[in-house]
Amino acid sequence: MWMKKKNGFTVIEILVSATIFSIIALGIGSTFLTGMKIWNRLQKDNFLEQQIPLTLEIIAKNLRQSILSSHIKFSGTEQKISFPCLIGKSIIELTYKFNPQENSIWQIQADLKDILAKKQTVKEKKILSSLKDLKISYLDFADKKQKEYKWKKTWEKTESMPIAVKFEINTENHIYAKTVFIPLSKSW
Amino acid sequence: MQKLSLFLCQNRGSLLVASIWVLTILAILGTGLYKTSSSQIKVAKTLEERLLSQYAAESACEFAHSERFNDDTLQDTLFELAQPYQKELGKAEFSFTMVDEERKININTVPTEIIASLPGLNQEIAKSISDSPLRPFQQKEELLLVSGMTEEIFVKCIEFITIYGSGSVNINTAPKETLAALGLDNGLIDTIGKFRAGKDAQEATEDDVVFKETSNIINDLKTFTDLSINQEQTLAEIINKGLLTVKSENFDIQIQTMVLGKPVLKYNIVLDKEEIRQWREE
Repeated sequence: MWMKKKNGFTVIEILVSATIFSIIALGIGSTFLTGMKIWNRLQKDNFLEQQIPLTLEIIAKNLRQSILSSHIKFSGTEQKISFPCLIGKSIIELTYKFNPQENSIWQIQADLKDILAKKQTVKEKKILSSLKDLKISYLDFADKKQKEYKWKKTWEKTESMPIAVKFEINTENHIYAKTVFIPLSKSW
Repeated sequence: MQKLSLFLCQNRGSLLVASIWVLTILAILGTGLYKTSSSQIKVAKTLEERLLSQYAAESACEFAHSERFNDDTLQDTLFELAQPYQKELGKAEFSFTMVDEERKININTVPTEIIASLPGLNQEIAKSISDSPLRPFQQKEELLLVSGMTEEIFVKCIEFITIYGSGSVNINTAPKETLAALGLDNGLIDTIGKFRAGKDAQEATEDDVVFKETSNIINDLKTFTDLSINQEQTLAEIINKGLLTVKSENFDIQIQTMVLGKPVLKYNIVLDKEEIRQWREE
């Protein structure tokens, strides 16, 4: 009977619909907000979080393929490592270096061809940034016969390679560590 | 209650529209999140595969080493060396084949004439190779720095060149080109090939025959077929210079690693009894 007279909504109808819609809107809104928050965090943190292990893996790959060369020495300190390595068909002196002013790690490539010709051409590339610190240490035999090992802070031996190299990268929130064993130092 | 249901009846589409909106927003959010996390999952997977592959390759080396050097009969036929090995280690698995390095010419020890007669090379390049300040070479690729050497020549001759070993060529495994570079004539190379091939006249099959002693090479060949005096002389000369042997000590191992049945990395490793000499990953 009231159906015929209906021209608009009653207060109750408006209240009910408003409640329902506000509940729905709240649900959508909060889901959306959490989604955004997670999204942002993933974008910011995880870029570094993904980048560091990947870069370390690339460094590790190059280090595993380091070669013996009488023209390029394997040398290293806590914040810099330099070794001969084969990239494609060229023999390269590869250097990874931490720059404390920029808080970044640089990769420096020098071709053996240019080194022999005494040319100073190098390729430099920034491979990681917004870090806090980098520490490199080198595993050496303390006593080869006894098979005792020792971690060193520098590597100066000219004719041999360390058994393993450990990288420790500090960022704002995390520490990443990777130990790379060099196959060429293996003996039976 | 009746009121509400009637209200809904008259605006039937509204709930549908609302739920479609919610679904769309959730779907967009979902795909976004999936995209971000899927890239992370991918990264984690790659890193895991590479880690496993590394250990698989190392155990392949161990396996090859014990396979080769616990075997006292070091005179291997091409057939024995070419045997593919395969092993599963949990999630990872490796397979590898081997060739010896002694089937190639060691450019660090042999005289210039031998280098010059390798495919692609000539007297001039051979001279700059043997006079190079880089000699003894520690990597084959150092050859590219020698004057006169081009990428083209390098590709041609690389198959027959090594930097490992004592410099003697293994007569049991050497290909024609290497034997020719040593100064053997075609007739002699054919004879050696036929001797090695065994009954079925095909190399790299099960019935291959080996030369057992360096000092017996000429006698073995003589009992097999007739040698001309000239051939015998050249052969004796080469053996006297220590350019021929019957055993190999350095092996080139080509490893393919797999994780969960999917190929991951290829390795090219050279090892001898004491050490790993070369480690390359692809």
